[in-house]
Amino acid sequence: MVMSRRADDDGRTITTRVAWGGFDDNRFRGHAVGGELAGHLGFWGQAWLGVGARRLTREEERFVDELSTCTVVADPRIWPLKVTRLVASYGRAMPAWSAGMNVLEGASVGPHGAGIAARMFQEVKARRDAREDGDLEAVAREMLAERGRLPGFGVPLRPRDERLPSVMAILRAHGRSDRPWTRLALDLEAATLAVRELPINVGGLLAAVLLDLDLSPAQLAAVSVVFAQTSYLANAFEGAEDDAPVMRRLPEDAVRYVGPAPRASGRAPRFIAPAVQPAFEAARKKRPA
Amino acid sequence: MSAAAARPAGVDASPFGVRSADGPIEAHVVRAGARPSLHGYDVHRDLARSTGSGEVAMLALSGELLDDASGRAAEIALTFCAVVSIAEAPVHAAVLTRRCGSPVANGISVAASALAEQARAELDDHAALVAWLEGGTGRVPAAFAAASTDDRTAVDDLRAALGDVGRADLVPAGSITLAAARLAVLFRLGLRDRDRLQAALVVARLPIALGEALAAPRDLRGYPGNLPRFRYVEGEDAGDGDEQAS
Repeated sequence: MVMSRRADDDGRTITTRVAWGGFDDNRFRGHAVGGELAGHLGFWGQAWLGVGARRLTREEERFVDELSTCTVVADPRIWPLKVTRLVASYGRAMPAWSAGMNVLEGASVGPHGAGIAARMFQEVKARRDAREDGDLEAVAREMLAERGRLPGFGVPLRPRDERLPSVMAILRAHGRSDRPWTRLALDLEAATLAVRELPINVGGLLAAVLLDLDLSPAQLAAVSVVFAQTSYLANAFEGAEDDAPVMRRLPEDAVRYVGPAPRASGRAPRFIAPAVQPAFEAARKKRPA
Repeated sequence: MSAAAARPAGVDASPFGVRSADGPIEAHVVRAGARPSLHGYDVHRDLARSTGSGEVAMLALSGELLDDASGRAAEIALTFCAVVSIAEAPVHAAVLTRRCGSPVANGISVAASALAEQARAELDDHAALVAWLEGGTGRVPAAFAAASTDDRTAVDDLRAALGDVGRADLVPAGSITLAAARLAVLFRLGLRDRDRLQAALVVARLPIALGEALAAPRDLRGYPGNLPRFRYVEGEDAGDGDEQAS
């Protein structure tokens, strides 16, 4: 049953294609949850339907599930996860989880950048297809000259993304390493490496793999974040369970103040610290009578 | 009639439909429009010309507009509540969000949620104080007696500042921590439950946290990732098993 737009919509009714809650069953993206999906659709299939994409086959769901394990990197020092830890230090996991998630959209780190990488791959393909010689290295040079870097390429703090070998193994095991976008991404890496030391990272490769699973860039930006959820869950849970006063407040010697020197407003005459007394007197003298 | 037969048919036959009202939703504080009001007071022509932002916050949270002296006392108390430093988790989290290159809206939501958690924990720690304030009699519970010279000095500063506006009476007599004293002042100025006290702490601190965040570069270079340090261990007992150096 699909929610229909009323012909006389007065602007107060929102059309949704996501879901409808019933007394006997619930609907999700055009399907009966109990009557159709239960037993036939797993978590990743839900995610694809959730963003309005097509229904995955069971084999595709297994593939994505295996892929998701390869992408796990839950070190609490990873910056958005550290935000989760900081908030979790007050004892509750859910606000910590959502705070860490709130870092992501538009950030220069984190899985959400896969959407930007996907758009970049689309542009790379368009530029390559527009060239008579189809020279991908020339496209890579052009784009690096224009932008300085390519989204989905480059790995912070280490020379290679350590997750790539297991991702590639999963891709090969499922016969997916030569799908069109995945092939383009790997060929672009080879072309880019001929120009600059900028290997593909897991976010970039994931963007290509998800394009091959028919997600749009906007859809895969959202779904990419789902891949990180167990990392957030683990850090939110442990952070909330632990009593770590140093996460709530760093010791004094861990902070170095680099702001303005002591100064006086000139408005509070009686309680001026000795350090700012001369500044206060100078400010008072400058004020009009 | 069976339960199934009693249910209306059609697209709106949902427990979330039939058991939900169609509106309107009630507004208790703000009447919106060309002449908005806050708890009945004209915002543009009255409050904006006569009250500070701290007093507006107190009005929003308590429902009552303070007199001049009490309003000034509220500004003083909120300023004493406002200081949060980068040493504290909410500001650290907001700064780190900024350094991740996130849009400022992300930092605002991180700061607000972290400050809310900090305020919740602070009110948890002061539950006995709030109960004592609600009771209204006796001495400050011993757990909230000032234990350091810095605390005593800060409370003296608070009393003196409030004394300037004739409201030194708001601070409980005797030895008291600064954290307890400023909560007591806000309570006595009309924030009579922990929810409102918690909200006031967030309102006071959010601009400070955001100021520190906005002063940070949008760049992770130079960020001390090992502050604090994490030590990874495997196995049930932290003393057993492999330990990975950071």
